[in-house]
Amino acid sequence: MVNFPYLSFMTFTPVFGALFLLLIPKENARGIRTAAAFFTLLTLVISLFAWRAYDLTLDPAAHPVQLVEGKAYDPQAPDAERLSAGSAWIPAFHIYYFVGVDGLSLPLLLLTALISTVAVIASFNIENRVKEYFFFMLLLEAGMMGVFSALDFFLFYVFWEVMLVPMYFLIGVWGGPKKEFAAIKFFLYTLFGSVFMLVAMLALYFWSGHPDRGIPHTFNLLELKRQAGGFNPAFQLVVYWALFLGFAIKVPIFPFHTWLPLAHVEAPTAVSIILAAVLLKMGVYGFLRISFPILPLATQQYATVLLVLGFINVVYGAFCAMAQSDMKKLVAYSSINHMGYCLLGMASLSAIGLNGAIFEMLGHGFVTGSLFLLVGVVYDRAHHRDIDGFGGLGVRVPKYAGLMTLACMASLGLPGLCGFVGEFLCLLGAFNPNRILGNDATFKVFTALSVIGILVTAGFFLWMIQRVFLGKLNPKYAELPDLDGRETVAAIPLAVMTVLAGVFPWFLLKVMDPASQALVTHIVSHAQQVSTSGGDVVSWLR
Amino acid sequence: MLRTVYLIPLLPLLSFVLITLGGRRLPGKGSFVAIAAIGWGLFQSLSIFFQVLLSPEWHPYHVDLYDFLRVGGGGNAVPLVQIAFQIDGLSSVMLVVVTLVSFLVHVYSLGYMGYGTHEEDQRFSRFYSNLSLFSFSMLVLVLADNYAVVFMAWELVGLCSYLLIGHWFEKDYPDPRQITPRQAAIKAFLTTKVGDLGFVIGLAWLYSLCQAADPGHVHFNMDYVRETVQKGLESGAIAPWALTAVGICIFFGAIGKSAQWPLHTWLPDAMEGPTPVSALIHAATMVAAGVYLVGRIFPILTPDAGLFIAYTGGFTALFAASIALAQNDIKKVLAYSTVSQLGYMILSLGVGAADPTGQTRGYQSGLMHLTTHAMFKACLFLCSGSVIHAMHHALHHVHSERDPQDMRNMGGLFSPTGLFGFLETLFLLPLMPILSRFSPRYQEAWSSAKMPATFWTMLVATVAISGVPLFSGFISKDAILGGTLHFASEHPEHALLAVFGFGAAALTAFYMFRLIFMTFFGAPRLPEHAFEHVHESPRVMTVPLSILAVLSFWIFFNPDPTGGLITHSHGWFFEKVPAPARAGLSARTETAKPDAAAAEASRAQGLSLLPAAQAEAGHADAEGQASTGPSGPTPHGVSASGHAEGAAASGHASAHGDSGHSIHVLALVLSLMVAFSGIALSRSWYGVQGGVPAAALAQRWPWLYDRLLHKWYFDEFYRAWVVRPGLHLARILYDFDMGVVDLFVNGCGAVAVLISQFKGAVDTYIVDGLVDAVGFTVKVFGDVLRRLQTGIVQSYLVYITLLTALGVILFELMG
Repeated sequence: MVNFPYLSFMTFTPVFGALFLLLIPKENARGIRTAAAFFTLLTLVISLFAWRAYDLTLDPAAHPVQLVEGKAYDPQAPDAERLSAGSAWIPAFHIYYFVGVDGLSLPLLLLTALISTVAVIASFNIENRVKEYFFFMLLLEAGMMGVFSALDFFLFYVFWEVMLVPMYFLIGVWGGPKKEFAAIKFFLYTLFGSVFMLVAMLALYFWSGHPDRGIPHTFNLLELKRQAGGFNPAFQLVVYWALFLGFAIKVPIFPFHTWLPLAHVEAPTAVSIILAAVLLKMGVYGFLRISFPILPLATQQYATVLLVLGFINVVYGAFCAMAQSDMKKLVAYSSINHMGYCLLGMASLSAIGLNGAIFEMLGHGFVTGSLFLLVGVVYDRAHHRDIDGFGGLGVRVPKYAGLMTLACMASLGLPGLCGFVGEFLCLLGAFNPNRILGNDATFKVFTALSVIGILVTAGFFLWMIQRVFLGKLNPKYAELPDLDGRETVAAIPLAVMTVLAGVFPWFLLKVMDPASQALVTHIVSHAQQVSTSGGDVVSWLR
Repeated sequence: MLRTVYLIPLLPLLSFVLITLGGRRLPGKGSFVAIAAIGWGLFQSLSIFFQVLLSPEWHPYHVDLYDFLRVGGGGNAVPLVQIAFQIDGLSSVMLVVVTLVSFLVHVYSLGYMGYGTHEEDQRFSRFYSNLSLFSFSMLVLVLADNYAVVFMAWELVGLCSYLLIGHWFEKDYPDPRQITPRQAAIKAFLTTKVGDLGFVIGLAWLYSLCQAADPGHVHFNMDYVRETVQKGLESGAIAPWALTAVGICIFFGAIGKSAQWPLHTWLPDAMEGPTPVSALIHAATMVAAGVYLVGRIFPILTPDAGLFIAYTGGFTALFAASIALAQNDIKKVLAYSTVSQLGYMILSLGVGAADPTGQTRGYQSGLMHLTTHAMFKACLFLCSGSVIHAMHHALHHVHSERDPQDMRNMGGLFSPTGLFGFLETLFLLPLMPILSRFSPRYQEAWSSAKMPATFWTMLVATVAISGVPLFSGFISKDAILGGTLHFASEHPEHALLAVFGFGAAALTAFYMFRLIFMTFFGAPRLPEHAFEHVHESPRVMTVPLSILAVLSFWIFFNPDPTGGLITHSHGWFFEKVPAPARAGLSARTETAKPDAAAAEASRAQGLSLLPAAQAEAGHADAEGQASTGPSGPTPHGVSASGHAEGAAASGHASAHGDSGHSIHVLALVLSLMVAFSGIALSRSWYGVQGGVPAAALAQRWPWLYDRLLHKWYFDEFYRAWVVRPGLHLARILYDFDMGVVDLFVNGCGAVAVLISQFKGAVDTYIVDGLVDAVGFTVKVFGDVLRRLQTGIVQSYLVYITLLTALGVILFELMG
């Protein structure tokens, strides 16, 4: 069977598009916009075909990843065969161009394609240096696609860093008043984390394989996962925390989160959308793709830490959001709150919780994407985002108010919209953690405490709706126009997905579920192996 | 009809979508679409209801719609959450209640929202789209076969409540302390959300319990949960205290939604919404969802959880009734009355759950009161809406700023001439149309009656809620009081529950008639020229009133107006809505004897206690008992009986023994006494000219009056101790975020900059300085030496000579 290289096409179509943009004269802003939209749309179409090509009937044990390009990865194959999956890139260091998707990454790829399209449409009103702007946007999309499809740690790392550069320029050039500071802070903070990730990556590389026995070192993530049992606990601990720093900053987990509100406030609308909807997911994705499978012992050991951090994210994020008067900052803190649910779900190491975490990532992508989009719309018109500076807009802009209310309701977890599904599964999972964790009561208590976050979230969203849309119309905005055609086109897909994923979550969940199950099985098998064969090791860890 | 039961909620959903998208272009600006959708629902619900009613033995009918959430398991396992409906006795009744009230409210709102008139509401279409959304959510709630789906619908009705309370969101009041609709909407949403947090935790915990009992594939289907809990209790995998805690956690949801103490404060403020909404959502259906939920978790409630529920409900019943005594806003009185009546239902269900024998029949009584209450309370609210509509119209005409809802502005709305006393009205008015033909006195009174239809229907509903015989409220309330008294007689330590019940009954009769007197009787307190403009509401409003009033008569619930003393039948409701088999019961035996060896025996004993008690009661009438009831000493009698009606053997009056019978008679007498004394007191204080004026009473007991008027200061308490600290905490945490966390990060950055500046300095002044120093030295030497190199031979000769001389001298000196 000849496989169409969906993933490479998804990753490199935007790159091609970016290069194509360079050929368009910069005076032709219209042409540049159209071309950018075309290439993101093309990527979206390809990713839809990839979704269709993804075969749910395949057994995840025999086919852990699909849509692999080059040499397929077969868990049953001999070492040499497996280790050279994908196509060789830098053979001297056993680095492969190895891409593939499973139930964890496929939905995120789709989310990325959708959000990028929306973001490009939402940035049609950029007038300043149009060409560069869309060039960076497309580059950013390529980076994101690459991160979610890479199965070679080195490749992953390259894409991870590739993303940073366009992001830096997008915030630093097209941002708000404190754009340079925000861009530098974002860049350096993330770089700080990825340095540790680099060290962890190299450590894993050199600890893997047995060169003396002819099994080379490897960056192959699936192979590293396979060798997870061979990494001793002390090693796992060090690597886990190094990776933790890299991912925690991206999630962001308290107390590494303060770059986020600043970056959001300063970033242009479309960049905020991408930042919230896709970039934050990379932290969680990193945990689920790298830390959890490769370091199962450390994962088991520190699940409680993740739980407590998740609790802090949920409650602290919610309360901080409550204190905001800037709409964008409010949404930014609500993102911290929502990522807390992901952490709760992940920490539980149960299939329900992991499904919840993945679903929450998607749901948060749709919802927060539209929230930032809509906040951007009102900012374009009013040139401020002060919650108290509006009032009564509901009468004047019903379409806008309706979509905004829908997004807020989804974000505060109203059933029937996508926010609920993720939250419900995360909380249910965290309340009923995997048995290998052993401290059931701690999980129950922290989960029960986390629900306070739900209440506060409802509070600040309703409060925002009230201040902005209800009451008497502020005479300053008596002529405020409602959503125009372009904005509606950008907002509708996200709204549709919000409802669709909330009413029929199974169409997404059925893709994620096998991946979560496989991950749980993997962790459990490794946790048990050690605890039965070497009890002293576990006691040493404690 | 059964197979397409999903149409009942689906059509309102479609109507919601259509109106939201199509809005004002639809027939009747969308209202006709909504009415048609709910009208079909009513028709289908009635047909299903009669199907259930007429079938001799009804087995719950299940419809699976689609998988909502599925985690693990192949295609054939039951998913974690499945959208599935069930038609059992309870849901068939609830279907009719919801669709009927909703339909009538839809019709009534045409008049109330001024369809086609110049006073038409500016968001008329939106109002109907929200009503449709509400109907959809509420119908899903009552149909759901699954606790998780109930929870989802539960949240959705909360949203609709929020949207509809805030319908007039631009409204402001001159008095800033008066709560505006938009504030009331948020308050309602958040307060009920507090209860929902308990619900969520309860669901998650229920999941753990089921997982402990059945490590395989757990889900939230109601029957499955009951059976699994039963299994877990028997095998000891589920601790009874945990089940009690789960019951109480889930009940917190009901506390919020049904506005029970201490989360009752949102409901009276929810009256800021349009009155039809108050009737539908905040009286008849949504607030009763909490009661319905308790009914649905009834199978897994332990007796201890039942007690908790009973005390909450009982206290709320009395507490809310006390506040209703002193309110002047007509809708506020009704709102507190609703809280109080919901407390009744909760009390009844709690008593039913606390009583392992099932003889109190609290389950059926409570849910029956839900049904009867839905009719007369919806009627009361719609009547008050009619009054407010008329008042508003009249006050608008004279440009008065007076409050159209304040009963102190009303009076004489029925008989302005003051010709009739109350008793005369009560007894002669049915004959009024005939009498007026013959007597000019009556003719004058009849023709001058301001709002006869509103008055009549409201009076009927008031009488019903007050517990006067021949009305539906009497039957259901009497059943509750009888059950409570029965329970109290068996457990004297819980006699307080009966006190709550009877006390609230007396207060209810009092404040409801106070409302009638203040509104319809006495001299008009409106300005003369305004009073002229008071008119009866249009047909589209009064016809729904009449339908609801007619449904408040006893005959629809039980042909025996005493509720079973004469015919020994409790009516169709008790037969068709039997108490479910209870898994939670095993918990009590478990707690009684923790000894593992004795547990098995005691469990058997505990379960067979139920038929044993019935046997003791010595009923001659054994019909149905032996065949359907778990009468044998089977150890797992309750689980074996499944859904069978006989489980609690409660469909039959014969379940009562002689003692039960006498207690029922006592309860009946007592409830009659309290009802009539309440009415009589009300008449003497408010109904008779020259009676004890209420103001004098207020002066005599200022402390009490002040507490009642200010609703025991609960709003103030929450504002000071919950809302403000919460906002403070938000502020503090944010300051911490900026001032500590972010400062640290920025500090790190600043330190890095400082270090690099220092290193820069080192680089510049030391490292580079050294390098420069070398160069400088060379340069200095170069500069000096360069001067020697002039290119003039004579100079060189001079240098040579001098140096040679210097050398010679040095050589000489040293030598």
